[in-house]
Amino acid sequence: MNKNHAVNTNEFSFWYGNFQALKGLTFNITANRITALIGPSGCGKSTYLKCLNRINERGTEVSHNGSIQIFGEDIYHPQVALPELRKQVGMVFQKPNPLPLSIYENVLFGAKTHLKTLKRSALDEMVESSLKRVGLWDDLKTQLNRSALTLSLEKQQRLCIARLLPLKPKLLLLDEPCSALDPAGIEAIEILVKDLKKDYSIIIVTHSMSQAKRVSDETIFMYMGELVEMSSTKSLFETPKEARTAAYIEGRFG
Amino acid sequence: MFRPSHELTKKELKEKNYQNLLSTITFFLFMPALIIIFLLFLKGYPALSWDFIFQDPINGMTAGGIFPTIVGTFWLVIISVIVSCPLGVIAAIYLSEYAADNKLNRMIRLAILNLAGVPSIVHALFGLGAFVLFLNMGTSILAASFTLAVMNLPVIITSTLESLQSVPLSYREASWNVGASKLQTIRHIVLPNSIPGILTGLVFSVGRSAGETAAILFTGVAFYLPFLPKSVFDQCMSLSMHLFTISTQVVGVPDAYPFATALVLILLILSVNSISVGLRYYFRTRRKW
Repeated sequence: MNKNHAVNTNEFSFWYGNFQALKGLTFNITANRITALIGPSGCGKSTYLKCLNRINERGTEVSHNGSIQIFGEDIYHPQVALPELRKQVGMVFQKPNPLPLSIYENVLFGAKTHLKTLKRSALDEMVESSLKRVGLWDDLKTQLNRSALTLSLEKQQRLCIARLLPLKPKLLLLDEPCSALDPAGIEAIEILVKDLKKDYSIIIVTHSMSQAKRVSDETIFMYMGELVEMSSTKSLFETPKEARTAAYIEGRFG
Repeated sequence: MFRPSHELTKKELKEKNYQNLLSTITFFLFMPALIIIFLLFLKGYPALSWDFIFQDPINGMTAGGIFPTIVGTFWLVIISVIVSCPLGVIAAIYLSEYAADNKLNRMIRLAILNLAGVPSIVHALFGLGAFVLFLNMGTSILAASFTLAVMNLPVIITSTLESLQSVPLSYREASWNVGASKLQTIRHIVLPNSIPGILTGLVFSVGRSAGETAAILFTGVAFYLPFLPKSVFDQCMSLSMHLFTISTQVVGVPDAYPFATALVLILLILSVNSISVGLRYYFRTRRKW
């Protein structure tokens, strides 16, 4: 495999019960880039994202075929431990979902579940650097014991990103991270996401084509569980090769 | 311009009438509870005294107090709670957090709901067969408490399940998503957020078992015992059973005695229930998030 690839998806299909949500996806996602997944509702973009840290394996029966490798490792290998996978492949959800804990505890929740013995000073360090990275430190450094649920939605979403960072994830998955935010919040999160690209590989699912255009380096257009087109964001939006891509980005359906 | 039209005035009148109707009906539903307590006080008050509470019944239960029945009721309730709480909470955690949504688990849930509807006299027969005879516990506090526990399990499971399910899925997702295991998620996120509801359910079930009569009838409660129970293998007396006995089975009991016994029982249950209300209040104010 190519060292620059964060994710290799090979003939990957996925079923919820009898419903086939993904149909034979094959493509590679480059490391330290932002890759946008676009497509109409129900096209499978969120399903694909959730497959990457296998967060969709609860309650309903799911099955898959084909393989997904993240940095060369098959994530559906029987020996894969889900907590370890999710630690390294973190997701940010559509609706900000901070835990009902203090800001401080929110940032550390993941770290504490993995590392048993950590000194208070190391924990403090972790909180400070994570909050600094997402631009919350200056605002919140004096109120770390405040409930995370009292923050504005934008800050909650930043916090949801911050709590992934102490785990040193290799891949960040953003599932329409801005859909609950106002325009100022959207802009702030987009700036943050672009900045995080230096250190992390990022995949972002978005409904908004303008957002895909603004933040992503590469764009994947999916339709009905299939990959229709993947290329650099610029060429996908300027010179789409597929008729369906052109129709979608011109707003003729979806 | 903004004055009500004729139609609107009629509509508002109708609205008001319905509101009055509903509040009146609700008020009348509340009345029986008040009347019961009022009557018990009125009729039982003459017999009520510290002696009544702290003395043994004498003269064939026509005089003296009800102390052994209170002691017996405490034994039964405490042991049944010790048995049923852990089992019920564990079962509810399994059903809520681990059980897949398949036929078997749906059947288990349905069975639990149905179990809650089984009459207590049937539980008593089950307890007689299973605990007294098959497990050879004899008629004892243990057998009676186990029977009460079985009877309370569905209630505890259902109320605990409800409290667990009221914790938003998004909290669990957030926790799994940072790599917390199911157990860690339950321990650090789900349980802390559902503990008020769970405790409330548990305490209400305590109140229920304190008043239960039929379930303990054949399994461990005696009409009259000249001594207090020394271990769980002894029989005991109970408030509810004593009330039945002195109301219908014994001749020459002063009129006020059954009422005073009922009053003590009701006050006991009310105080347990108010503990539950208090707990709920305590957790609500203590929570910072």
